[in-house]
Amino acid sequence: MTAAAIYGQSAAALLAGAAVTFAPLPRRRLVGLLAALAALFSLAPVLHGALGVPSFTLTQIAVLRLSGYDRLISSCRSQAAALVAVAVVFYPLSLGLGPFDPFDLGYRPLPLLLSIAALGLWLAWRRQEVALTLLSFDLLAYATGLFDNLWNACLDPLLVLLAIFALLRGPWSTAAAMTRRRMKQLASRGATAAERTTRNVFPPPDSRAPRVRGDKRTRRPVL
Amino acid sequence: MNSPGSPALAFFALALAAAVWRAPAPAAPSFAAAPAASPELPAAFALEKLPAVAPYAHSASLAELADGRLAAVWYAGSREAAGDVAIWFSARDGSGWSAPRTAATRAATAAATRAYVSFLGNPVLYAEKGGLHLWYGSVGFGGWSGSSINHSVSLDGGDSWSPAEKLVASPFLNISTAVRATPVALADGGVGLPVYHELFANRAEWLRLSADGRILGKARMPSERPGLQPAAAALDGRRALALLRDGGSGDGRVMADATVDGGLSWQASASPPIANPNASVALLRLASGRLLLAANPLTGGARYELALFLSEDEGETWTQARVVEDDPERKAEYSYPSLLQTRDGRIHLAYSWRSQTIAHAVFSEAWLKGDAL
Repeated sequence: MTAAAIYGQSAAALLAGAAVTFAPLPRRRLVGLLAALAALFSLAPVLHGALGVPSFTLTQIAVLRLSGYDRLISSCRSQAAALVAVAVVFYPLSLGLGPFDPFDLGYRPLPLLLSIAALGLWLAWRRQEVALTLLSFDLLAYATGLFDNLWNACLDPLLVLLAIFALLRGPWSTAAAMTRRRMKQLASRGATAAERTTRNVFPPPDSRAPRVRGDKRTRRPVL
Repeated sequence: MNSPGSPALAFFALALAAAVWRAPAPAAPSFAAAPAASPELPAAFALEKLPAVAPYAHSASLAELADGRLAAVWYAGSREAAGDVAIWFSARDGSGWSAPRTAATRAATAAATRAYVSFLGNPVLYAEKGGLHLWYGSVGFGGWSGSSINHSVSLDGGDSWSPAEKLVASPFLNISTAVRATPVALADGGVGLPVYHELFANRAEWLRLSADGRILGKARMPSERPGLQPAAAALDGRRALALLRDGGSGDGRVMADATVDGGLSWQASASPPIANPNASVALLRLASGRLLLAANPLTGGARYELALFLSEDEGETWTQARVVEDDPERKAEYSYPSLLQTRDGRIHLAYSWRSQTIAHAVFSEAWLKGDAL
């Protein structure tokens, strides 16, 4: 049994625990931790067999979620968009579309590491310290030999799905908040139920006004 | 911008330095020198069957052990893709094949890789000074397109095997990579392992492995039609030829790929005029320099005939040398050949015999050339 195998099983258990925290349960973090512990000896090998080895990025996000610090990555919306953009190009090429295979670069990743160095400097310049720290741990995980391919330390299909979900959830959450606020305003004015429904479906133009700096709607957690 | 003393930036620099330190930077690959010429043997041919261990047996692979014994692995169980399929090992000495024993099972593979395994697939056996290597496929979920490769090593001639390690050869859930043909030795102690994928589209690839079994790189093996199960043979230090199973629809033919840079890159080359019924082939460079191909030269999915072809000109032209099996009723299946030339000059062919057991033919190059027995 190798360190990579143990990591794969443990990471799968953490993912299972983190997934449980999304359920509407009391004391979700505690339940999630217990679920992760239970999954380690039950569901984790099945998940590991189905999903392969989770990327270290995804494992870190699961740990943040279970420890209650996932709000730290709520500001990583642009990084989620960049991740999806990379994946849209990376996966088709790596899975056989065209002659170029970017996945091969991950086995001898010195050129890739140059790009990651530039990315790290850009994140530092943008003061994206959380994303920079996640990336740093990915590099350390690669350096310890848990991953033979640098791409696998940083990226996996489930992480991409999570990023897509986060990007879609942002506008949805904003729209839901706008609806709730509008309902509250209407209720305070004593509007009828029919009026509420009509005005909710066809909100007045002022509720679709462009966002301004400091607007609470722009600061909602992404994940 | 952050100050130079920013902890996050400093941590990133440290992690980046560690990753650079660990990143392999291997030299350009080259193939190991060909074995010395074998003694000329008189024409000889013999055929036998390996001991049966289960109703279904398939996909044999051969290697020569350090003590000169011939070793074989294959997979067997109640049927293809059944949960009871295991990888079986047997060695042949002067008294015949030893009682087969398992080299890998579904349960042992799942325990070693800490991942659920539904069933096992094609094994490949390879001997070198450091031991005996076994690569084999395992599937967690789905069919063969969900396969991934496991690697195990024996340091005692196949008596015991190290816990399997998973090779991560795909970015997509590490599925859809399988092995079939024997690897080619590289000069740096590593090997080139021909593999193939069946997810989204059939395609062949070449994995470069280090001496300790880690993947150092991979290269696409393009072909005129969708290709599977490449079988490769080195021609010299830089050049190699690979022949592929035709994984496309309709009547197919054996397809060819070539490299001139030690396997860093492969190009499709002219296909030999040999039909292929979407069936595995085996390729071997003999000590004499000739190339030997074992294949089912049929169409329409039939595998009732298994023939041997020789090439005197590094695969430019091929001549059918012998037919090893030919079922007059055209119903039987003789397929998935594996070739090996041992140090004593004998040539060995193992193949699936009617999916019931593994057959082993041993013959000399003189017999191949048509000399009478």
